Amino acid sequence: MSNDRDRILEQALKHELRAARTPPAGACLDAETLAAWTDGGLDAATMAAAEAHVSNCARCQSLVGTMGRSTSGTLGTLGTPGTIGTLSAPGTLSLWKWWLAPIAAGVAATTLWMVVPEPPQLAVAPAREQTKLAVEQPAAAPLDSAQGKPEATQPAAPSAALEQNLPRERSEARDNLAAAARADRGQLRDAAAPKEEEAKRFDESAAGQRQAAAPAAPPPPAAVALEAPAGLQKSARSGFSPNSIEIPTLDPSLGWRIVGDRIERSDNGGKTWTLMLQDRGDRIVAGSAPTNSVCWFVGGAGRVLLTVNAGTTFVDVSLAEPLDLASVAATDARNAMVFSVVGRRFRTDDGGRTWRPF
Amino acid sequence: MDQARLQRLREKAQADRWKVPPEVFSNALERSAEKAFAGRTPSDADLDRYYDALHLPDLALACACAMGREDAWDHFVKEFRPAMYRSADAMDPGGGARDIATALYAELFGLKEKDGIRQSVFRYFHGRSSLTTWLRSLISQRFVDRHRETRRLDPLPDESSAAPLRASASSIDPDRARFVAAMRAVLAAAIAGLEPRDRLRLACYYAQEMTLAQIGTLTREHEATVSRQLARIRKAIREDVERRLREEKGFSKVEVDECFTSIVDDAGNLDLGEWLDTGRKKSEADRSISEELS
Repeated sequence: MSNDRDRILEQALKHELRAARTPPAGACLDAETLAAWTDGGLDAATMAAAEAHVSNCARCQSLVGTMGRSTSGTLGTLGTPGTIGTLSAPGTLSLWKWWLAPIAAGVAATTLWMVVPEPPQLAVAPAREQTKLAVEQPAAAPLDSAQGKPEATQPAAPSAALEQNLPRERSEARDNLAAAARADRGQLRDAAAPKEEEAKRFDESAAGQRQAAAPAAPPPPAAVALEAPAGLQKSARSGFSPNSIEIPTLDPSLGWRIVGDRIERSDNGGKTWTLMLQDRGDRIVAGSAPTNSVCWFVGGAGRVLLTVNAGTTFVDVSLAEPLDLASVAATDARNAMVFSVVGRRFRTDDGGRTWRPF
Repeated sequence: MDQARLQRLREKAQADRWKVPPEVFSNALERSAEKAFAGRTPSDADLDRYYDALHLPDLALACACAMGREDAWDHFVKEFRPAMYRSADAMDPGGGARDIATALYAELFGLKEKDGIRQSVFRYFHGRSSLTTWLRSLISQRFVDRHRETRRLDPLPDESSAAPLRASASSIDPDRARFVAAMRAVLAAAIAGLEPRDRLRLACYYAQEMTLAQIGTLTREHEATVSRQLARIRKAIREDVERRLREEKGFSKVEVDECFTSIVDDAGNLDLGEWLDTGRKKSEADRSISEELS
């Protein structure tokens, strides 16, 4: 019965402690103080005050818990009490974990070979995307032509360049990864990193190299209005998509998500999703929704799309340079910043008509 | 600020690397000390100790980024963005925190202006932690607040879904509700009577499901110490609960047993923290307190 009581008490504690009441918001920890606490930058009195507050505050307990979990590869996640691994103090590495480094390097190399795309697939992709663009964006071609851009030669040139550079890219990527594995030796999180993480790293690396290898493409037309294909629009889908990137809005019932090159919107908290735009194939990778009706999207080849009417229409406000973009941060329909996979940054304060590096 | 001290700290911070003017760095140091010694007047020795313990190179970089120095921003994006994304992914493996990390760039850069001056969040970095930890804390704060806000607006579950089960359980044992209420009351009182640090340890372990190592980082203790402390606290709570049931509620030994048994099947309505469980990998590796205690 004694052991049973202990187990029952553990369950009861779990429920009871989750019911901690939140004191007035003004008393909560700010991010700087929490960071200082985590890094040992608080004096004893301040730390005691922080502990006293957090011990009673549900919000700050969540904050502390989230902060603790945000350290990917935290020591101890692999350590088991009673084994040699737990003898390490927080912030140090146990000796046995160093043995994981060569194993991790082997896994990384194997993963790399698995995720390296085959040359024909990469070479064909730009041509297919260009065809798709012509079908879905009839307005784009005349505008290119009006600006005197060499339309016919565009698809072929990047393809050829990619084909020529691919072996070198693969070789360099492997070298980079091997170097990274050496540099990361001793870092436990890399030893425990899932394969997806390695694949993502390689994708980013390869994307950066493709961008560097590709010849300068003509600037995309500014402010081309895109309408979703009539047959696809408003086709509600429900359920969770494992490959989607969700973009929250201020209203929790509204939301955007990106599934490959599809942009979808939900107005019922994600129960159903409506296709708002099937893009041209430059995979959309990120978005930012500063208001419920405004959303910016970015993707490969400098692709930037903006909607100011909750997806009824999209405006192509892509960058002049075909940089692979990784993220966007926007404050409204006029102001936004975009970031490329290699760290270049551009901002606009006129709704994407002009982009300035910063 | 004393010029000799400022010069020494600037050199230690490598402030010249980012061309941070002395007055800007001096202001940053003074703001930092002002917050740390709020309401107190530190001695020169205290100030020296405090300044020397700061993450000065990070503070200089933050100053430069807040000023919009191009090379500093390049360095920041190159060195800190991967860590930000790793932290965001660790918080929410589903990618839900990445947009927070991305949106943070706008605040760090300071897209909004006030009186012609960009309002960068970097001005709130005081060097008491590393820049990486501070960024992690900012993302955590926004992540938690967003989810709490979302949770608050969620509709309540349909009451009819759980009602039959509760009614059935109550009909079997009419005293069960009384025992559950008594047990919860004395447990809450026992928890409230703990020292703040003990309550914090419990909350981190049971409510937040942090690992012993993570708790140890927070409390500046070795994880083995955290484990021992948790065992001690739980033993004390159990004794306190049993005593209160006997002395305050007047329960017999059999009734005390009933109190413990009554809460076995009662999930309770106190799951305010469960939203954080979504997608969380439960690390049982160093969560062996129950085994140690049994």
